[in-house]
Parts: sequence; C-alpha cells; structure tokens
Amino acid sequence: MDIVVAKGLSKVYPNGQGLHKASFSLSKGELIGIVGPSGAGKSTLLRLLCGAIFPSEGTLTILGQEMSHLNRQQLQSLRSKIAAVYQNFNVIPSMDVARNVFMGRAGKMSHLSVVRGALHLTAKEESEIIEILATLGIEDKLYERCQELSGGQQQRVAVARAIYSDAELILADEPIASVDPATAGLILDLFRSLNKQGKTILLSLHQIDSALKYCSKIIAFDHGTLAFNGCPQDFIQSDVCQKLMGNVPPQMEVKVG
Amino acid sequence: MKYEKSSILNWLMTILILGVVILSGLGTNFSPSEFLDPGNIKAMTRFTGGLWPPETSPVFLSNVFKLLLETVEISIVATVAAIFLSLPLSLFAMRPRGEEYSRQIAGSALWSFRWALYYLSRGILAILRGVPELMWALIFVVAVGLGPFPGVLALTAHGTGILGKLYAEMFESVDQRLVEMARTVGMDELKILVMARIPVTLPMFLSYTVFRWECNMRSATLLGFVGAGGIGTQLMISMKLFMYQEVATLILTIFVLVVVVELIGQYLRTRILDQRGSASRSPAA
Repeated sequence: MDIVVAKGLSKVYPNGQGLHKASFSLSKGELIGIVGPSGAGKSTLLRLLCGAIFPSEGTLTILGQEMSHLNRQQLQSLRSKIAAVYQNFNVIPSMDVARNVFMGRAGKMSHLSVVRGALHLTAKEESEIIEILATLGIEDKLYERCQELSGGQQQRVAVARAIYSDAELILADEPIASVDPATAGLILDLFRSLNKQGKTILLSLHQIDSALKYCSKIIAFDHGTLAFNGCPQDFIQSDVCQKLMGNVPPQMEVKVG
Repeated sequence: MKYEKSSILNWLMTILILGVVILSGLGTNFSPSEFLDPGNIKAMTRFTGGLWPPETSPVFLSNVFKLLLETVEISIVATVAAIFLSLPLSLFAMRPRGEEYSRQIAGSALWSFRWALYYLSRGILAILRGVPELMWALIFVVAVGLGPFPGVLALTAHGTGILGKLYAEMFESVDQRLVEMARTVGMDELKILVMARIPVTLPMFLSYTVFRWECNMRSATLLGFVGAGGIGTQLMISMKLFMYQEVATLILTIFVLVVVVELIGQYLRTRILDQRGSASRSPAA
C-alpha cells in the first residue's frame, strides 16, 4: 500500500530554491533515507510531508488524502497521524519532558483533555510515557524541564514525542545532525526497531554511510530535483552517490565503495 | 578629530524645536514667578501647615482602612477580569502567520475573515486602552451608579486593552519553529496556546500581569474622584471640606500602599524572572 504518493510535486520559494517536479511513492513499512547536499530540497520535502507547507504545483497524497483538498479539520486530523523529529529538536524548553512527550498526542485529543494534560497527567499516560522514555534511557528526566537537558537528551525527547503520537508515518529531518555519535546510534537503532514494528519512517540524513546502513530505500535530491530513487545497493553504483561522496575523506569512500 | 559643519537644516531644526517649546510654555501660562507671588505663598503655607498633625481619630482611621481595602479589592478584581477578557481577544489579535493562513491555501473567504478578525480585535483593544481609566469611570458611573463597581469596570476596560495587546505581541514572539512543530502535531490554535505559547511565555505573562496589577492599584486610588469607589472618595471629600489633617493621613496611607504594592510586584517579578534565568543557566548533568 502506498502511504505517500507525489506527482510532479513542486514547492518553489521566492528565491527560486525549493523542490522541483518530484514524483515518487513510498510504501507502508519502508525505512526511507533522503540524502543530498545542503539546499537540495530535503527539508522542503519533509515540511511538505508533515503539512507545514503546501505544494505550489503537483499533487501530494498522504495516507490516501490529497493535501490540497483538505479543510482545516481534515488537515489537522491528517497531521496528527504524522510525527516529525527536527534537527533543532523543537521541544518546548520551559515544559517538562513528560508534557513535551504528551504533546505528541494532543492533536487527537479534545481541548479539555489537552488542558487537563497540561496541568495533570493520568497514571496511565504517565506510565506509557515512562515506558517510552525508558527505551531511550531518559526515564529519570520525566519531570525535568527540557531547557535543563543536553542537546542529545532533547532530541531523545523529540523522538519520544514521535513514538507517543502513535503516528503511522514518522518524518525525521536530520535527526542526528546535532547530537553526539552515541545518541545518534541510539536514535537510528530506535527508528529501525520502530520500522520493524510496521511504521513507515522517512529520514533525511547527511551521513550517507548511515543511510546505507539503516535504510531499505534511498531517495537522493540535488538542486531541488529528484536524482535517485531506489535500493541502497543500486545507489552505491550510481553517479549521484559518487558525486555526493566526492568531498568525503578517501578512506570512507574505500569502505563504502 | 574632524567636525562636520552644521548645516542650515540643523539650525532650522533647533529653531523649530525651541519655538515649539516656547509656544507651549506660553500656551500653558508657565511662569515660575507664580510660586514667589506673596498671595500664593501664603495659600501654600496655610495648606501645608494645615496638614500637620495628620488625623488619627479611630473612627476616621477605620473608615480609611475600609476604603483602602476596597481600593485593593477593586485592583484585584479588575486585573483578574482583564486577564480573562484579554486572553481570548489576544488570540485573534495575533498576526496570522504560517503558510496555512496565506490567501492561496486558506482561500479568499477564510483569509479575509481571519484578517477582519485581526483588525477588529486590534481595533477593540485600541479603543479600550485609548480611553483613559478616569473617563471609563465617568462612563460607568453614569451606567451603573456610584460605588466600587464602576471602578472595577473602568479598570477592567482599560486593562483589557493594554493586556490584550501585550499578550498578543508576546504570543506572536514565540519561535515560529515551535509553532510550526505544534501545528504539525495536529493541534489547532487553542491547543497551541495551551501547550506551546503559554508555557514559552509564562514568565513574561506573569510579569506583565503583575505590573498591570500595580498600575491598577495606583489608578484605583484616584477612581474615587469621580465617584467610582476606593480611597479617592474620602480624599475628594476631605479636600473639598478643607479637612487638611485628614488629607495628610490619606496621602500618607496612599503613599505607603503604593510603595508596598510596588515592592510586592517587584519581588514577584524578580522571582519569576530569576526562575527562568537560573533554569537556563544550569545545564543538566
């Protein structure tokens, strides 16, 4: 089943950058790696997919719903089925870890429940959140404010929020770009195990070796256009890969090639 | 060091500003020599001499205490009412940002409606705070009669205008990336307010609100001049009856009250801000 279908998808910013006429589809249960140099359109694609911005041309169908045909309620309901993790964490610094994770499900809850949750978490919610935090090794930070945590810990909170949201599609925009290598490994392993549980995951990565190691499918962008779409084995052979790896130290090239 | 030659324009500006100041002084009968006029000096000595000793009869003091209490009560009720009125208004008075509010995505009808709401709520807030408290008090005294209630209404009206604008601008200042994250979780604006905008701006929110309470407290001491309750009522009566000893007591108690309230406010605000500061200063282990 195709979870995302893009046809001639374009998003052009006033400065001419963005995404130009990309067509691809993503199947349920895939772990997709998006690679490409800075400014290639990776973030634009992810923002389009989580409904933060809208296509300027072409169609984008997510979970069977076409983005441009949605009213606000439908859009909000679709967004609540998609979770996102960002490079700069985007956690609320002044709120505690528990509330930041709780927020993942706020889109699906009634207004009263959201207000209640902001003031008081039920025992069930608390234990669920602790369980998720435990898999990330930060369960002891439950009631600490996010601004008191390190970058790596904040990113784990963001991942916990995505897991708690129970989304079918998880998008991660360079989730390991601002964290230490140990946390990066932990987060990528976690995405892989989530993927094994049936979640569709889209990772945008700068580290091509990580993408090759973890992903079942690679999509590469260059200058806003889709340059490659296929399995990692084919990607290594492709010109795009050679071009992307061009400025990486030689020993890395030897290892991958 | 090289000095620039002053141009004709500089001289013209200087003359213009001086001219405006002098004309304004003439227009307001500004004359320091008035102070030295023997008749005026005599009147002032009579007034200041009459202030001492301040009135301390138990009956008067208990009356003053009752009015002081009423003044504080007016300021508290008005501040709380203003918070509840200004919060929803500030939601609409926030400049709609983000692509989903663009004309292209939202559609012309919804887009126009949202911007109309924006300008309407901004307009309401501007009128509310544009009319001074005492003028609101005059209006409400006519509407609901004498007493502390019109005073509460007056301070509520003016305070709503000020807090609504402050809140709206405060909520607007929240990092747009956090707002976008909150939106992509599927939250609507009300949920975003609860889960993102208020938590992020809470220290500022409390600080503005406490400051507004201080201002309301000061204004509440004057409301009595137009019959809208509080300690000002007695001040007005005592002044009109030339009971200067009573006036002395009243001025002293008002002074003490204002200082005490400012100290409380300052304490609260530094506590609030310190909390934010220390929290961001201490990175976790």
